Amino acid sequence: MIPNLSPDIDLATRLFDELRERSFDGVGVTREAFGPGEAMAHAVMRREADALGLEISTDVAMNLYMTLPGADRDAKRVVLGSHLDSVPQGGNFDGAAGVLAGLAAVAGMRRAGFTPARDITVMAIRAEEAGAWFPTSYPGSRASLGRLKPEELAVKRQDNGRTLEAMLLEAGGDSDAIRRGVRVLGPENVAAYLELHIEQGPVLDAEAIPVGIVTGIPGGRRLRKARVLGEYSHSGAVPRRFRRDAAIAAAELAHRLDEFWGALERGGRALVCTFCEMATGPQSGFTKISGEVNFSLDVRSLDPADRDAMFAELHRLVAEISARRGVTFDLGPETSSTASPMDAGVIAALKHSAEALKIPHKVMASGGGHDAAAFAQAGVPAGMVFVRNQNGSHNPREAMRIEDFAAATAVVTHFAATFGT
Amino acid sequence: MMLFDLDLAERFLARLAAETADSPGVTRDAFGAGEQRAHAIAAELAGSAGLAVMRDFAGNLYATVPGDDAPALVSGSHLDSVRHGGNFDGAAGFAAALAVAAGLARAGTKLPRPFVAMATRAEETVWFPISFCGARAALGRLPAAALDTTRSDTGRTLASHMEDCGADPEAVRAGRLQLDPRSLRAFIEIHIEQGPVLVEADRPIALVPAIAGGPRFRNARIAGSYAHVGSAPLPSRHDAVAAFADVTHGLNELFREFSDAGRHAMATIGVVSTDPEMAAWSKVAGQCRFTLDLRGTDLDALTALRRRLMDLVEEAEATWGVKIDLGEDTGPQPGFLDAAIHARLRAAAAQLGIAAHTMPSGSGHDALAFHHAGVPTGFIFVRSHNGGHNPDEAMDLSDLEPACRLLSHMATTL
Repeated sequence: MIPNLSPDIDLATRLFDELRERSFDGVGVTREAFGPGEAMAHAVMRREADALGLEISTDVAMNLYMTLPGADRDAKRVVLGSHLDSVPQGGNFDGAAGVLAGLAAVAGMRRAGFTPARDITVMAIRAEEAGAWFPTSYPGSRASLGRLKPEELAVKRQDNGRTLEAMLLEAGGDSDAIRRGVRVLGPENVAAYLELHIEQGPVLDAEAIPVGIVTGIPGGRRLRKARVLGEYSHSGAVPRRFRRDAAIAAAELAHRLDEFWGALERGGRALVCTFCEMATGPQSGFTKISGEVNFSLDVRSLDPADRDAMFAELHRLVAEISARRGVTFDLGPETSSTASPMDAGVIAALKHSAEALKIPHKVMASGGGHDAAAFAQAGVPAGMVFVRNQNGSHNPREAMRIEDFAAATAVVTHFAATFGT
Repeated sequence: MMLFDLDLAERFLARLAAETADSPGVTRDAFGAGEQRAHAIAAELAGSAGLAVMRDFAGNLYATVPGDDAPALVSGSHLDSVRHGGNFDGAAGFAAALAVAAGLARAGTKLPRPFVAMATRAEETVWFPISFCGARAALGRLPAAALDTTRSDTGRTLASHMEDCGADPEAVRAGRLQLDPRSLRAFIEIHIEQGPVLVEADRPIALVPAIAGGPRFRNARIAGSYAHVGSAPLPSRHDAVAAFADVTHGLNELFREFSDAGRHAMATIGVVSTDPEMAAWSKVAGQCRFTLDLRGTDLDALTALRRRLMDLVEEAEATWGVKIDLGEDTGPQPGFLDAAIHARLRAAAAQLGIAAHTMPSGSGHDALAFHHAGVPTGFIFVRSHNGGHNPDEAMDLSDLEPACRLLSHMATTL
């Protein structure tokens, strides 16, 4: 480790400003996956990488790779990456911070005349914001890992209805290669994947710690289309004992599941349980007892036992409430995702780097999903560094202090220069 | 001697069902084609029964049997319905009054006072967001601002709809009085129950001493913050749905206690909705709106429910860091109807051998408008099957018969 190795934060600051200016939509920033906003961001990164003299390439899904060559070109590389798309009217830092951290790290190495032991590749990933654009998890990074299923090419962008395949071809990608499962990255050529990302939550800010080292990305169990069926009847004319009230059944379920969550938390378990949507059916009215309530439920935890405990309680409550209130629950199909623990060796190395740099840090689970999950699922040792941020994410008020970014990027730089040496 | 014409009531209801059919059920839109048709049928049948028929400036219909020069007994109900509603809600009450008027007229009975069968307008608030439009207009108590409210489906004003129906909104605006409360001895409304109580109690009719009121919040809103579910641990989430669940579940617990104790105070969440544009799986819900309808006739229990609601709102705001705005309380006060009329009805039922139940009404009716205007008011429920406001609503004519008998007795003895 060269003593003066420090990331080029000025470069990152300049690029944050340029990205914001060029993707500002009047409210927040919009960088549509496989649309003009994301393309602009990729072009900016490519220009800067070119100026830094990095090796530039793209893959079948038009992810962008910007490589600082290492001393041993045959050694497995370190990948520093994240995504460049944003939600509509989103914040400037979600995703872009990870790519700019990578560029700042290698720019710092270039500036110091440092040649790493192995290749360090900054990766700008496509189309991560599944909730906003293509409703499938991590299509960009999974394509680079040869793990995007052919049928997923048919998913449609939620705003314009165009398929992932059509938009990917338009951007210069190769859907046939994706169908054949061609992969650019995998455990055979990547020593570690490291993603810096804003926390998106309030924990680091509340605890006054600038940097988080992530233990894993939780898995979830979800009911996207659950409902309670009761019977519509007149609010004034029907006494309680005759009621089959769907609204109060749904409220009771939410209230009691929330209490159960609280009890688990007090017992030291870490999970989140959210009724994301709840709405009475179209026949509802002010003076009607509700006959139908639709809701969605999302339970996430790193430890599968915790979400299983919530779902066991859910099923117990559903049976009890149905019997007592004369309603019927139709929970609909359940979808799930497995948790993606980060690699123990990567976590240990990140802790070592933070300690060497005397940067205060907190070891914590991620709340949301990130491309790092796709790498972990593919067997690549993966890690994540969180940057303290304010006002959450996916909104125009999302904020991040540049000194916190600098602290986290210093950890990234130290890690990239030293991992596996 | 049969002083009511039940066959006429049956013919009236059959023609309504046929001529305002809108499968499933009937639609008689207030100050629209459906209600107009119903009023035309009412006028035609009342006229052919030899009754004097007139309409007032608000489009209400009156069929009068003359009597001695004394304040009149008026009985009636509304002829509009909800969309795809049942045939009996409202119409049954006018059918009974018409049957009694026709029976009295045919028999040539000398009455101590005039008996008036009245068909009101626009009682169902699904059309115009105003309670008891027609009845209140007749009593000179409809605020002029009501004329500018718009019908939920057409978007056109009440004034414009009234003009279509040959009524005179300017007279309403001027506060003209058709029915001077001092000129009325009493108003008695017959209405189907809309609930299951009489079916369970196995009684054809009920005498109703009170009509429920209570706090009503049509536009309650909870404002939290949207956040990614994974990035918002329990202490820091401002979850509007969780706050909603805490408030309504807590309120329901008190409702359960009152209900178990046989006290008349109910709480209903008619509508709850997260924002369909903004709420999505993987997000904590930042907003939620709901309606809350508290009603009953037990004032202490209603007050307790309201107080508990305010406490729960405060607790949920503190727990979840949300802001809860219940909005305007649009609820009417409960109406405790005239005790003397209720006692007369009870005595008459006993004398006539009618097994009448006693129960409060959970929902509002035109009778409340008369009560609030100071007219001594009575109310009678008729057993109905399958509730009200739906196409399956049903009433047996044999259950309307004791109600007619009671009303006819009142007309000749009050």
